[in-house]
Amino acid sequence: MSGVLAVLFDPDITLIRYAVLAGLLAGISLGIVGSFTVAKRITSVTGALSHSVLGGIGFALYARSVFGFSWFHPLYGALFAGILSALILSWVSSYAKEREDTAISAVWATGMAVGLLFIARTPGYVDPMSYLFGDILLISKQDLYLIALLDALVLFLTVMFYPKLVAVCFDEEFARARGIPTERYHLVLLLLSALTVVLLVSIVGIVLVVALLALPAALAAQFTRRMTHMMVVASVFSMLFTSGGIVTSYVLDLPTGPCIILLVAGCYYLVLATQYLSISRKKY
Amino acid sequence: MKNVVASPDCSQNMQPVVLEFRNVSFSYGIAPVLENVSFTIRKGDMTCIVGPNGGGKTTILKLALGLIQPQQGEINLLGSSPPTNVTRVGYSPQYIHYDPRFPMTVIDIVLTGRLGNALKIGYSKADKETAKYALEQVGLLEKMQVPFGSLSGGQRQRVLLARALACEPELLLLDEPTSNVDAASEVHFQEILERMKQHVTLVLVTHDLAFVSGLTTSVLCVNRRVLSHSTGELSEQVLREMYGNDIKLVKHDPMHRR
Repeated sequence: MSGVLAVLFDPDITLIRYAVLAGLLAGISLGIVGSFTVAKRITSVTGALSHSVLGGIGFALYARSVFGFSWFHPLYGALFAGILSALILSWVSSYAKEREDTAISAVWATGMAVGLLFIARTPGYVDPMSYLFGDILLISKQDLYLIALLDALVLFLTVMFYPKLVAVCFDEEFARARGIPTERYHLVLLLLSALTVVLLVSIVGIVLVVALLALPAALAAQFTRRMTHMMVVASVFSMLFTSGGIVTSYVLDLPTGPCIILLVAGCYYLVLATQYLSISRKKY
Repeated sequence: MKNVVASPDCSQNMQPVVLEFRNVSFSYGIAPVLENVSFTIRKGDMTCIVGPNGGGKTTILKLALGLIQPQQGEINLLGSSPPTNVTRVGYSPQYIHYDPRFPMTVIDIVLTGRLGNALKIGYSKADKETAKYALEQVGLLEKMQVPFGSLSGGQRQRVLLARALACEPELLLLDEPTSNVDAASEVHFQEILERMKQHVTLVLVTHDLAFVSGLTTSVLCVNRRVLSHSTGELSEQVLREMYGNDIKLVKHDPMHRR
């Protein structure tokens, strides 16, 4: 353990420190947005958002290489694609409610297809694996600033709209009967999810984001009964799991994303099993 | 089928109009739900909307709130077409599609009644006091910190009523407030309604006529059309009319022909 701490504070090894910092920063958004998505049961929507982000990443890589847009960081592309997907999905759920699941799979697959095509046509070798499953080698100081900025944006939007967002999640019809334009707040929720997904792309990758968004919040829900408490606990859980996973992956020399996810998922299954056992013991 | 639309007795009641439907028709797709519905509700009225299931009772409330738009006709809610003045209305639905595991306590839910479209960062102290007072009205103040999902059906319904009261409404629209309430709670509800009657205009959807007969000032019988709109006490004649309709329904139902 002291070896791990030494690594974290070694000024020459920025890699792990950046990764852990990124995880801690992202944990704030994860806890907040994860709680919303779990409570509103829209984790499949976040799945679509996260996968579609590959389209933007692919385009950014292509544009950098072919058009020489060196400023076009892949995360900007991811951000753009995430926001576009959130707009599409919110439009579908407001105006064509019964087909929402179809639209989810369409957005999901389109984004991935677009991304893979752009990556295929990008000169030189780009490994889509690092975006799909995360690669902490990709995290630079610039990424940390971007993550902090997105974090601030998520926090700002949540604080501004918190009571209405919760009301819309809990009972949309009543929220509308209070004169609240619920479609707009649904969009805010999807935008928040998109921002959070983008934050996490470099750490766990777009395929594994869904679990990291949903599971800490689901775990927090077991121990809390109010939304605000759930968010705080979920944030703490997210931070623990991401840094725990990063350290584990460093110690065992394994890919980071899967380590984080297995740590979260393991705890989740454990809690489910304990719960099941305690309920069945009560019965008999 | 009679199509009596009694015009409200103007000589007796010159209170301002709170809710007015003028020749309103509404359909979901091609199935007509309401046809040519007209009625007027004035300040201080306690109106009961009765009628068979699927007759359009809930639809009337949703139209009044501006949750759905009529294909024809005009609706006037507190002097303007809905949903302009909707924040001055309290609404308690019959069902809500809620998740029993949604992380909200009773007070959290009642507080949502304080929301409007204005920008609001958190709830004020006054909001919290109003919400607590509303909970006290329905006798659930001591349950304030309990998760909503852990309450009984009747208690949940009372929480939804408290949420509507927390709006500090001028008009209160209640959809079947006693649909899954036990007998003891029902008595409680009657007391609550009697007290509220003093301060707000009440519109109550119900199929439980006994529950309201003593309280109501007017009854709106709805089955696609407004079959009758009687003012004053719920008369025996109206009751018999409704009762008669029910018997006819049973007779025409082939399932019951043995």
